[in-house]
Amino acid sequence: MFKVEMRLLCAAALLGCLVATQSARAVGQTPDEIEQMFETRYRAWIESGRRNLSPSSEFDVDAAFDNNPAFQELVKLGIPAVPYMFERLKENRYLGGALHEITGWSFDWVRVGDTPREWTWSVEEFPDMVSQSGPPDTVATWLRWWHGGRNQTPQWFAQRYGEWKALKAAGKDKEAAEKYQRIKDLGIAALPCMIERVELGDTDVMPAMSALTDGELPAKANAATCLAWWAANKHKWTLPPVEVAEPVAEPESGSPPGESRAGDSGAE
Amino acid sequence: MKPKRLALKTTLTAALLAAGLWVLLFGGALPQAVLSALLHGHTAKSATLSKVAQAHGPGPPPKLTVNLYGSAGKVTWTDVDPPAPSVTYTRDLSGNDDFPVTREYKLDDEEEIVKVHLEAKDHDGWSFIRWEWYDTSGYLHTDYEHEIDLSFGSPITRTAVFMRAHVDIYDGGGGAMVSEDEEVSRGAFSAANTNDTDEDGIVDKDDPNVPGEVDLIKVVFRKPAPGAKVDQIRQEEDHGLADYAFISASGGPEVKLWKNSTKSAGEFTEIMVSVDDLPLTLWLEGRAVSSAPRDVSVHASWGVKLLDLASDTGKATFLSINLAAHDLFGVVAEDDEETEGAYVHYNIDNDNGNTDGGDPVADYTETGPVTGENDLKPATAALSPLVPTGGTVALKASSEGIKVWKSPSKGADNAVLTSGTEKTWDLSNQSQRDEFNAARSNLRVEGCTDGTVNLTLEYHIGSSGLSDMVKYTFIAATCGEHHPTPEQRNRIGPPAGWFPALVHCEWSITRPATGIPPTPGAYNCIAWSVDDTDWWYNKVSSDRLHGIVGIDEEYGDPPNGVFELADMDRFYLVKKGYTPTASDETDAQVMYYSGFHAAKKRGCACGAGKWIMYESKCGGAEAIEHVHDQLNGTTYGSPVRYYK
Repeated sequence: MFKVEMRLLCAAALLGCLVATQSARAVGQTPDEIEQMFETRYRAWIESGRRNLSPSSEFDVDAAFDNNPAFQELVKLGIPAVPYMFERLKENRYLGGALHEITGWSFDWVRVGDTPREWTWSVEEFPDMVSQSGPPDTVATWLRWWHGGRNQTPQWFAQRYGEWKALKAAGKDKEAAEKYQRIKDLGIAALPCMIERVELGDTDVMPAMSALTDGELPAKANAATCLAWWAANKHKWTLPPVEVAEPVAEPESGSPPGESRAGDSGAE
Repeated sequence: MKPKRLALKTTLTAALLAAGLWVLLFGGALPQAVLSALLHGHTAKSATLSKVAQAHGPGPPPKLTVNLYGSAGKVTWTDVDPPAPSVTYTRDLSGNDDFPVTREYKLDDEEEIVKVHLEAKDHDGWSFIRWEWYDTSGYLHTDYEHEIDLSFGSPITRTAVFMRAHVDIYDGGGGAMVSEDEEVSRGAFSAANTNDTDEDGIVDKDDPNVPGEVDLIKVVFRKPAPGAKVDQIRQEEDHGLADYAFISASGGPEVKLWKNSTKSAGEFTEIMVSVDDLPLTLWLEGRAVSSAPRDVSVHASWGVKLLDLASDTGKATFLSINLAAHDLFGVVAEDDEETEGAYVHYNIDNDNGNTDGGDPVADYTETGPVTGENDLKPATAALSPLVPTGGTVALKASSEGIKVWKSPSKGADNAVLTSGTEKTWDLSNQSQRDEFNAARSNLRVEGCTDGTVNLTLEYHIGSSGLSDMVKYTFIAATCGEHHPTPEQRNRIGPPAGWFPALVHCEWSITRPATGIPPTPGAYNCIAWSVDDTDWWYNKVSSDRLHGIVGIDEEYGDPPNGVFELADMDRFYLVKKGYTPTASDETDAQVMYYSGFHAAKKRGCACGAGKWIMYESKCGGAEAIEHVHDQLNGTTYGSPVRYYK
């Protein structure tokens, strides 16, 4: 019963944000202007990598992303640029880094099997995305999330929230901290779920909300302040609703080694 | 005045005495060997006639007329008393003729004596035989022994008889006769008979019958001339019993004379034949290469009664030919020239860095000079022991995929064989011979195709020929769509690029640069070594959100935050089923380098088996194909694991 209520609340919040997002665009830039800004900043960002013709096989992630001013400029476009990023994601998997910075969503890979020949990898959030030679394709994973997977956020939140509470109650602080991070990994799509917990008097999720909103919601705010802030700013922190779910390939059995068994429809 | 006699020529006397003694003691003809020994070195080359003219009382002053019998000869006339400067009178083959010559002497005192010294010398191949004259009664006198009686008061005549033993020698292969003037100075040329004309598996020199043989030198031994005088001499009672021609061949290399050109009859190095058997055609075979120019002699001497009266010599040189090649791996052994052959770059690189519309211009398409050109390989064309002054020599290519220059940097002025498939020099032409001599030691071979071309050096004189072939295989790294641009060449290759050990022509760009993340489609060497263009693999940590896979994090067992070779082993096992059990680059599919780099085997035909080609994606830069060891010692380190 609790899960059903949570789902309904989150869905309502997501639907409501559509109008809010449109309003934000109307206030700031037009969609064309946003697209133009995205194109400009995106090209500046990828040019920084294209120009780098070092023979080194090691890649400095921070230099290309977090410490790259062009990347930061791209991220600053925020939620309005996300749809354009997903359009380009099919040709450039490295946009996943920008999407993560904006949406806060993070998936995890799970490897199972006793020996290397038996190993399989899957996406924790989408267990049917399985690969036998290495991690599943990231583009497919992002597209899966964008085109419908994120609708499972309430369920993921409910599960992780419950597990976190249990670990915390059991005094397993380290495991609880890790689980709390997994709650944050649900990204801004989980903010309505977190607000709901605040409305029920649980302020333990507010540090996660503060982190996901880049500190706009002060980490030490009280519940009332948090709810007021959300009421005033939720339009800025809500993703567009799932519009059209692109077909995602069904997992296939017996795929050859090295081939992803699911979720490649969005890959290049 | 008592007639004076000239001294008997001691060597001739000795020969005559020895022969006569033999006949007296043994009552038969001299054996050929003895005869040969006697005759060698006994050629009459000059004779002197000292004549004393002495007047007894009044009478006609002495008058001496000297004439010459034969087409060429030379007589030096010296008045001894009273003395006067010597004068030489000549008849030669070019039309000069001073004969007959007459001098008249005035005497003031009946006791006065005139002494005249006449000396005849061999000239223009004609040998001096004897003096002869007729007395007033018509009787023929001969001064064969150079001792004569002279009378006074009437004109005196002396005729110097010159005759020749005539050897004509021809260039091999049915070539032209060598002119008399050049029989010794040039001589004849042919090939040493070390081929196998009839392809019966027996080298011609050891083959007793060679149908189609063309390498023997034709030699014609002609009857002494002029014929009438010969006949007269033969009929003279004193001289006509034993006339002969002694024929011999000798030289630096072993030689033989045959009675026909295919070696099916006769085999000797010396022979004595009757003058009646002349003219005689024999065939001279050189069984090895001459060690020096004109080191073979064919000698014929004609004589009467064991005296060599005339002789003639022809010279010959038996040639060898050699086209010697250097290639990418050093000197090409003679035994390997036609089988393994020479490996030279297919000259597709861009040593001078010029471009056409931005594309590098392959050096083989340029005449040059090409600055920095270093892909041509030396070759030498040799005819031993000398470059003959006859015949033709040619460089022939089996296709136009080869060019031959006489400079390592090419250039129009240095073209030798750069269009068509043949370059021929006429060695009888001084300027062409000079041109060949200037080029032959400094040839440079350029590969202009990706394949094999045979280059042959041929020498022909008549139908005789020599040839030496080198099989050239031109190799280059050709998998790339184009060869490196000047920018890529400088950035990646030697001398100052990332990989100084790369050799231009031996690497190419197989895939374009991707850049590093976040450039779309960026992938690295580890990815490409398993045919993966989706990922960038780092050593340790994955960054799944950014599309980066960490080898340790995903393939460690368990992941421990440390990159280890065992992680790579599991990576290749999972990705390709490879294990690190290959012994080296020859059987490996992937080489992993100590500096976190991997290269995979190309399996291409580049190098025609001489190179083992691998392919490396160089970070965010291009993928290149390269010879397996030409990235060693760089930031990539060296291979430490061989996977298959």
